Amino acid sequence: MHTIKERKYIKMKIFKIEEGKAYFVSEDGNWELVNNITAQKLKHLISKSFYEDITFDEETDQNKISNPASRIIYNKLIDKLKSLNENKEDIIREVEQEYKQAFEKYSE
Amino acid sequence: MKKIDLHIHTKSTVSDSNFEFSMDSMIKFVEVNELDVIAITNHNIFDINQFNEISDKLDCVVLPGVEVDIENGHLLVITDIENLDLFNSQCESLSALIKTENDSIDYDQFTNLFKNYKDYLLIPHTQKDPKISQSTIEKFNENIVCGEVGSNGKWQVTYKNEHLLTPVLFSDIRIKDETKDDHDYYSVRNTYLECNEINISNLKDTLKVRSKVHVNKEKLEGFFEIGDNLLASTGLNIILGKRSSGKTYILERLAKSEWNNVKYIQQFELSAGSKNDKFDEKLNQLYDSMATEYYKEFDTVVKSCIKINNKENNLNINSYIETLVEFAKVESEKNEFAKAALYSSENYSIISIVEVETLIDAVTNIIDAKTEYKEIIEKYLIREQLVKLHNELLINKIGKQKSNIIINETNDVLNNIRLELKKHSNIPQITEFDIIKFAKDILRIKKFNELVEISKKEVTKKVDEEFGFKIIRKREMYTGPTDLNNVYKPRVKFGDAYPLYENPYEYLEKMIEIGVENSSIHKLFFKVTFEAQNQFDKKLSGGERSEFILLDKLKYNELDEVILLDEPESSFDNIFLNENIATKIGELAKTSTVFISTHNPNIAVHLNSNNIIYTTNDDGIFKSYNGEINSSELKGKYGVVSTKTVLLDLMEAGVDAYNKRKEIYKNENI
Repeated sequence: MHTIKERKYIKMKIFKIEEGKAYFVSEDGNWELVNNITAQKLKHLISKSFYEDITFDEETDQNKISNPASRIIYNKLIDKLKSLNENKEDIIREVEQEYKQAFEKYSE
Repeated sequence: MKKIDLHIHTKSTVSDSNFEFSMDSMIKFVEVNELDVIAITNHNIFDINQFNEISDKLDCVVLPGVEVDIENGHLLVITDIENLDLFNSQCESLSALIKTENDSIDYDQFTNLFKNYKDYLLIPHTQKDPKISQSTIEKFNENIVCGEVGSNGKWQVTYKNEHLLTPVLFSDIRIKDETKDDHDYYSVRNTYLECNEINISNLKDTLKVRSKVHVNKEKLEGFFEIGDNLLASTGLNIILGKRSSGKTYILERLAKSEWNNVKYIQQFELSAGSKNDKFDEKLNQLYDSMATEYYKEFDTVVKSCIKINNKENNLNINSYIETLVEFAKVESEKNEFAKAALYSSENYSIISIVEVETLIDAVTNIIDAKTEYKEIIEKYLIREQLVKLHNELLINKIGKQKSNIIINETNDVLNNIRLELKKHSNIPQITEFDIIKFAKDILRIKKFNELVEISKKEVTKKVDEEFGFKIIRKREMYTGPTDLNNVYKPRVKFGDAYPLYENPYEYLEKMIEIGVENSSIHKLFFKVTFEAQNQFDKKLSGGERSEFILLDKLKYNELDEVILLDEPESSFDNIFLNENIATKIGELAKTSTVFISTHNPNIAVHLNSNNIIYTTNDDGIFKSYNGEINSSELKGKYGVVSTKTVLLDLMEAGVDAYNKRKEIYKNENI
């Protein structure tokens, strides 16, 4: 079982902006346009965020997303994942606490 | 000596379970038990007509009485026949006060009802529920001389303690209309008094002196009557005899007697229960609470997983993505519309033709004048010029009208375009999506799957020791749908669920779908069973299983007044019964009355029994005798038999066989 102390944090970029286009990392490790996001792919990103230290590009004047729809999707998803990232430790701690006694007992 | 029973019920009241009185049973009860004196003592009522009828039918002394609910205990109140009418009247008043099984009067009410209670025999429940408290007894002072106890064992203990009231033991029987053999009427609660003339005063005087009170005719301490001229010890009794000599008959009769609590362990219970599958089932039942305790944490985890609505979670995330993409598309398109000049442009105004039409009408009127004004007009205006003016005005109007057509068409197009532009400005809402909750549920499912994988690993562990045997707990995987059915009995389609056994969360979802109760699902991921092993770490043999079952049945005996064991040795490997059982029986006999039937006299010797009841079939006549093992004779209604002869006969298959073996033992230096 991974505990908070045992987990190795790996810096992993899951969202990027490149040449005016917005991308996210898919299950096979490739970059996909953010407009192609699906529920399954978002689930994968959420799962990934538990055991890896995720990073993402923020939009700047120098690094803008040219497509307005892409910009909206990108920024909304970043907000969600940011919120998850901020609460990640608490979530992991809470769930591990729920399972702690059971793992201790049945790991005979 | 007089044999008395002063606690007999003949009427069903709110304090009794329903029964119909039978005069035939009343007569038979008195006859079989050879009673000299009885008292009719129903709960808080007295039926004078029934009492008189009973008195007429019986040869023994019948005393009027009542069992009173006083200060939450029971008190027998008995009087002489001479007080019958007064007593009847007093009981009528009593009945008016006590209507339900929870009603009770207090001391003051009692003394008010029974003003002459000092002339009555008052017998409280002392070592018998519901007890009268010591403080209540003290209120009556010297008017209470004895106390009713609930068993022969308690009688013996109370009798030895001079500080306690003289104990008395009565049947407390309900005389019912039922079909019974004569032997079934025997009471096991009997009291004898060394008293001649029966009246309340004499009874009270006798009961004050404990040496005049007995529970058997022979006045033997530690023994009581069980009918058919037989005595039993309050400790350990061995019913000894060859096969088909009537041992089981005596046990069966004793099992039906009026004890507070009787435990009857029949021979087949041990042999049937010791079969492998039955034993395993029984063992797992015994350790069910330990299994429940072992599953506890897993049950908590399963219940929290059941609450995860994965389908709803998936719908939510799907809806979120769909509405997000739609929103983004529409929101971004709204900016382009806003840029369009047409989105915010105004319509063109129509050009008015009212003035030119007025002018055209005026010029037309001047040109077309036919009356006296024609000459005046032509004096100043040339007709030809007027016609030219009219035509030019007309051309002007037509030009304006043409422009208005174009303006209207243009405005229509503008309106349509703006309408379309406005439609695209209704931006859809993004569905709420709680990513924190969603993430927690994903993590819970992941953890659950990990936990189940760990828990499926086979583990055995000693968890208890019982009766000298080890109790092993085994945890292992389920092997298939049938294996699941052995644990969860209601018929569900385990065949549909088991294929998902390797995917715990999906397996869980399937269990819910096929209708397994939430309270039982946690037991279906890994199996927990218990096994008993002997000192060699092997599963128990048949004899060992019997021993375990017997000791388990004898485990909780605090409430057992009597314990009956039918030929226990036939189920064991060792015909002498091993030390565990012998020790246990010895312990039991200190607090309960134990009867063991056997055809092996060694058991009588080995167990240090207090009393032997010897049964024999003498040319079709069943005879029984009893006595202490170290006495020279055993006595019964058919006379006496030699104890030595009985033991030799049973042990050594007769004296001749014994003598032959004696030679062998001598030759072999045994």
